[in-house]
Amino acid sequence: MLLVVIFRYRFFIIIIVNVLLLSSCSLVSVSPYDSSADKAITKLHKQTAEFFAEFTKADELGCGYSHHLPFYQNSKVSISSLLVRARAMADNHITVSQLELLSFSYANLAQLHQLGCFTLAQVNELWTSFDASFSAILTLELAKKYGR
Amino acid sequence: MSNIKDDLGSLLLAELLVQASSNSVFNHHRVAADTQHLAEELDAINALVIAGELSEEQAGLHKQLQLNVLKIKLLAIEGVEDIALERVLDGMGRVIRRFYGN
Repeated sequence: MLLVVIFRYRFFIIIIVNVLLLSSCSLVSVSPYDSSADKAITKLHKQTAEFFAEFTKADELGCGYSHHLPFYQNSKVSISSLLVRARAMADNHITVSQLELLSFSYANLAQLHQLGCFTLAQVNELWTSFDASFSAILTLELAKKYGR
Repeated sequence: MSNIKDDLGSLLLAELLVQASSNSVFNHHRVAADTQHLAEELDAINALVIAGELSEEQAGLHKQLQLNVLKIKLLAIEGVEDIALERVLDGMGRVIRRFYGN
C-alpha cells in the first residue's frame, strides 16, 4: 500500500526531497581536494607518532617539556602553514575549523607537558586522541578526492 | 505532460535511491557512537583524578583534548555528508539533463 502511494506521488516526493536537501546544505560547497595539504597532514601525523613513540622509551631525565621543545616548535610551524593554505582556499571552512582545533590540541598538549612528565597511560590516551583527530581530518580530505 | 513528469519522476527516484544507498548521506549512528565514546573517555579521566593519578588541572586539559577530538570528528562527518549531498544533487541534475537531451 505504502509502495503504491510512493510510486503514485514519486514526482512530488522527489521535489520535496530536493528542496529539503538544498535547504539543509545551503547549496553544498566543499573545496576541492588539496594534495599538498594531504601530504603535509600525513607528515605532521608521522612526526606526532614519532614523538609519542620516542616518549615511551625516554628515561626520566629526558621526559621533560624542555627536551621536546623542537617537536612543539616544528608542529606549531607545520600547523600554521597548513592553516594559511587552508584559509586561502574557497569553501574550505570545515577543514579550517578542524585545523584550528588541532592547533588548539597541540597547545593543550604543550600545557599538559609543562605540568610534568607524561605517564604511560597518559601517552596512550594522548596518542589515541591525536590519531583520531588526524584520521578525521584525512577522512574529509580523502572524501574530497574519492567521494565525488 | 503527466506521462513525461511521471517518467522523469521515476528516473529521479531511481537515481536518488542509488545515490542514497551508495553514499553516507546520513551519519546519525556515527555521531551517537562518537558522543558515547566521549562520555566514556570523560568517565575514565574522572576515574584517574579520583585515583590520584591526575591533578584537576591535568584532567581539565585532557578533557579539553577529548572535546577537540569530538568536534574534529563531527566536522569530518558534516563535510563528508556535504560531499555526499553534492553527489546526489549532481546525479539528479545529470538525470534531468539526460532526460531533456542536453
